[in-house]
Amino acid sequence: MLEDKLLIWKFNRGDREVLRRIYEKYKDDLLTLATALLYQKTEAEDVVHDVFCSLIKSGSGQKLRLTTSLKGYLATCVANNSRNRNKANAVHAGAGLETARTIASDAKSPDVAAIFGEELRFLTYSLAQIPYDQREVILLRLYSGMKFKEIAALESQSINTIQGRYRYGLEKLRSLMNGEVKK
Amino acid sequence: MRPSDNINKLIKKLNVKAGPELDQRVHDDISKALAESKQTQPAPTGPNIWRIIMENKITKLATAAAVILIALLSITVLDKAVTPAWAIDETIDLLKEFNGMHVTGTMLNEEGKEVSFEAWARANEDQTASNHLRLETETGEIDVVSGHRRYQYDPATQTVKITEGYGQAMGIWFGADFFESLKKIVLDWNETYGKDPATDRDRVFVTCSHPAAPGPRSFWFEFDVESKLPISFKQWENMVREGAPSFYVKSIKYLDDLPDEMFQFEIPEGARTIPALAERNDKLQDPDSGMLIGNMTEEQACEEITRRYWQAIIEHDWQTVAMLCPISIAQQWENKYSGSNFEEIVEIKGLHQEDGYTIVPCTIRFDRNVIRTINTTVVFRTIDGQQSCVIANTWSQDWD
Repeated sequence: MLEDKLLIWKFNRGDREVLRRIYEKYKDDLLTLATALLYQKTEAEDVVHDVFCSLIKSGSGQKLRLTTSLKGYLATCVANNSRNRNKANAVHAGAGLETARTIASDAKSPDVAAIFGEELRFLTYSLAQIPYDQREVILLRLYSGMKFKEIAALESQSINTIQGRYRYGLEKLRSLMNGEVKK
Repeated sequence: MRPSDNINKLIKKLNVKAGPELDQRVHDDISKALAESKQTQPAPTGPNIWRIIMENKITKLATAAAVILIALLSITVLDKAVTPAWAIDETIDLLKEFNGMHVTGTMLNEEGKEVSFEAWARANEDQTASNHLRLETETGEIDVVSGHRRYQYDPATQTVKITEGYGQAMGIWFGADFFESLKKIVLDWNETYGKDPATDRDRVFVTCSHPAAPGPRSFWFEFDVESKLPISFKQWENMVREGAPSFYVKSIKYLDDLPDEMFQFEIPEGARTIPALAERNDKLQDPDSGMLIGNMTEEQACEEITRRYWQAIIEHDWQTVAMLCPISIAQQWENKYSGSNFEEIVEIKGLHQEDGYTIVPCTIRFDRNVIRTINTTVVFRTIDGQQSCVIANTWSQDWD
């Protein structure tokens, strides 16, 4: 945490070289989050690349005024970028349900098992079947460690809405995972 | 256990490693942006932050030097005549540029056990002391001083002690003023030239001692000849560098500055805060402590209680010391000062106000004719209609 404060301070003083350290420190976390949101590793890599490109291009005049941790801020950037891509993909595919099925199907594929490992195959398959909004809240909360308040600010929603998505998403996830075991 | 019970744990296990292609894309973009920025922008006029020793350039030079010297040198301690010139004056000039430092090392705790720590400190305006310090130990204790507020977090009791009106975080600053004064006042400044066996870089090792800093102290400093900066430091609470050092700073990195955020303290979740001001105030309000003012003016009373206090220390009268300065009991005062060589009060002069406190500087002669001025903070109170005063603390930044 202290190192993050120093990194932000240096960035705000125009030192763009610190982006290397920030990238090295958080690249795996951010790529994991993007992959779990999009189920496409190549696209997830593009998301992480885009996030750092926007920081690089922000110029020495821009300062990071963070209301959350550096990790939370970067996770927010990844979530925003992933959501935009997800919307664009949904429009391109023509239907949300169809996209969901494709993702669920993708999540069962050997490729996804290769990305996340066999142990997490149930989880990734189940995550892929719950609505994107709920998946996003669950991942930001449980994987990135963000507070409901921060997620609510990111999505311009009330805390109650975010907590509702989290609760419903988790219930559905539990049900899916238990069902998978019974089969 | 059902898999759903493990959702939290399973999600935390998700892990996708970034591959070399993504690494290259991001690093190439950063390099490109930096190169463009250098071409299109004028040279930066802002402060050059993070001027940390052991930069790449120095490492390369050390490698080159190692190749040349390897056939010639097989011993680590060298003749002063054949090593690069170094003088403390150069270090003193250089240190004036730095307002921050980051150190790591070990210190002995109250039970005499060695504890690793990491600390950040920022110099005050005239680089003689520090009012901003952050110290974290391997056992989880955090001590943050920010101006006149101090936070002490104890993970064992899950408490944060908050002291208002705290004095200086460090009574000295390891900067130009410190080394300038140290060279003048220590008894046995001794320089030895050598090399760091790990990096083959030239080093100067300085040993010295002081009988009243307060109490007997001996020191060992390691300077890097090329950067001219001190890079490690040891302190013993005796004159002969005997036993484990009470303080061993294994690495020192001097910084242009440090941000305010470094000295902000966030109360850990679940921790209870303790207002230390109240605790200290209670002690300072003890009716059995202090000195009645009677017909004296406040100025006379300040000088009188200061004189009595230091005289009691010189005479090892720990009961009187504890009565005049009730923040500690007699035994604790004895432990603190019995090894010190206070000889006589030279003068009490220069009473003034600082941040609402009355400060009385007292100049004291120690063993071997060493002179030091120590500030004494005096607090007035009225108990049962009678005005009296007590000593709240003492501190010094004057080494000469």
